[in-house]
Amino acid sequence: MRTVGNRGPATLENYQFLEKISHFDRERIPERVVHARGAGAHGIFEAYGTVGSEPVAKFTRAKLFQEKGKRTPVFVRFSSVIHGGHSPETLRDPRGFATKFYTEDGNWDLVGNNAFMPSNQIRLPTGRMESGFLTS
Amino acid sequence: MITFLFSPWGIPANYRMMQGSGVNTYKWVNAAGEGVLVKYHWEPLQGIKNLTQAQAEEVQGKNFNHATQDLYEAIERGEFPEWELCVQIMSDDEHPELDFDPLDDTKLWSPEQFPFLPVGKMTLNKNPENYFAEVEQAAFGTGVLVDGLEFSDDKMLQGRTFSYSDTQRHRVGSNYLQLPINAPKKHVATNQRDGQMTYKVDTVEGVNPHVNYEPSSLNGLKEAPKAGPDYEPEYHAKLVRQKIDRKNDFKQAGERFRMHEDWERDDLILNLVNTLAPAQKHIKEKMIEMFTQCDTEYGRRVAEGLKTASENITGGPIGSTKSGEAVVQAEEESTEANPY
Repeated sequence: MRTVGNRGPATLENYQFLEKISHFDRERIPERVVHARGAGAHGIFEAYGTVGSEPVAKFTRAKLFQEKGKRTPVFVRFSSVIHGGHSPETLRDPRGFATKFYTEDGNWDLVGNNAFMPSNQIRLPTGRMESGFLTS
Repeated sequence: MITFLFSPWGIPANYRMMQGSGVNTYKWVNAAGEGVLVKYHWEPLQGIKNLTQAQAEEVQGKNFNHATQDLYEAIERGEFPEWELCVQIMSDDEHPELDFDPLDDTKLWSPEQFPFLPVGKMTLNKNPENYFAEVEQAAFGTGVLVDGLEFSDDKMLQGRTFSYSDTQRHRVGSNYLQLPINAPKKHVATNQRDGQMTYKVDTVEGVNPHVNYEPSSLNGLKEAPKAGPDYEPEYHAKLVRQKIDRKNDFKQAGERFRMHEDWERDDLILNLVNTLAPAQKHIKEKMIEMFTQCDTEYGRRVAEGLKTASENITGGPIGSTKSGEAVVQAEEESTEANPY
């Protein structure tokens, strides 16, 4: 860094420094409103070609399920729900379990939990903060 | 949900040893355009393990990232976690014979009546290389479906389906689907153009990249052929603002209370008592009344617990009895130091 003498002050021409520090200042994006705390991994989904003892085609034409042994790449993100990005993973909370299947027809996201939900969408934003539910 | 959440099921041992559920009701459609209702479940082949409040507090004192570390290290060791994907199926109608609405996402479908049918197995075998690029920027949405899979008329799910993609555009950016973690591996081209951080023209080779509309005689993108007939349910109803008819909010919670093992039930009662102890009297009474509607023993045990609960319990993280104690402890047990 260029400075006026080796004890400073610095001048505005230090483009590399400014670029580096400006990038650092922007390293974060808004945290998820819910499910902020999470971990993820890549993997593979392998189809059985059946649903129980019947051919899966009886119920769905989705290609990823049809052939026994067909492999589809996946990415999974696990999370807690209401707590922030660096909250303890030991807290009492439902856990998120979201899977992205990269299928030959495009992506399928199965966005689940390990537990159950309030039944009316209008309640969701307040329900997550554990305040009283709206009555509508 | 409360009867699950305040029991040890509210603190899974880690991410590998827990179930997953699609929560909402979805639809499957076959080649003839016939639809059924489905619920999805992930069953961990590692088994299911949960922690009591006391065990969780002890783990937390040593490591509050234990679940992320556990997942990462298991994969690095080559012990790849696996889940079987199961579905439950029922015909797409109102099912008046059931005491709940099949579109009510707060209800479980009895596995005796609607068996868990396995359709495949998932293995997680590779850790992310960069947490931010992959885990933080991963953007999911309940409307992201492929042919043969649909969402149901569950109004909760329809609300979710708008919300997810909307929040991803705010959080990650309007072109979040162009990021490698979110883009389909088999390219699906669209006529969407421009916006913040546009990385490329979303087209395919050999097609005129200057055309962003369809139909066009100038060699633009063409709509993909339909894979089969659409599923077309028929509706004859008024547009209304009403709750669903069969709410039945207490029966399954009572069943869950009775299904818990003794240690799970004991921890459930303890956590509810400790959480409700600092609450106002009318809130305690309302909660006891609701627990009693689930199961009389459930209500009785919470009421008795609250009668004998320590008056020193203060508000804090749900289930914890010691948050107030910690505030005092930090001041009282600490040692004085001189200014530097």
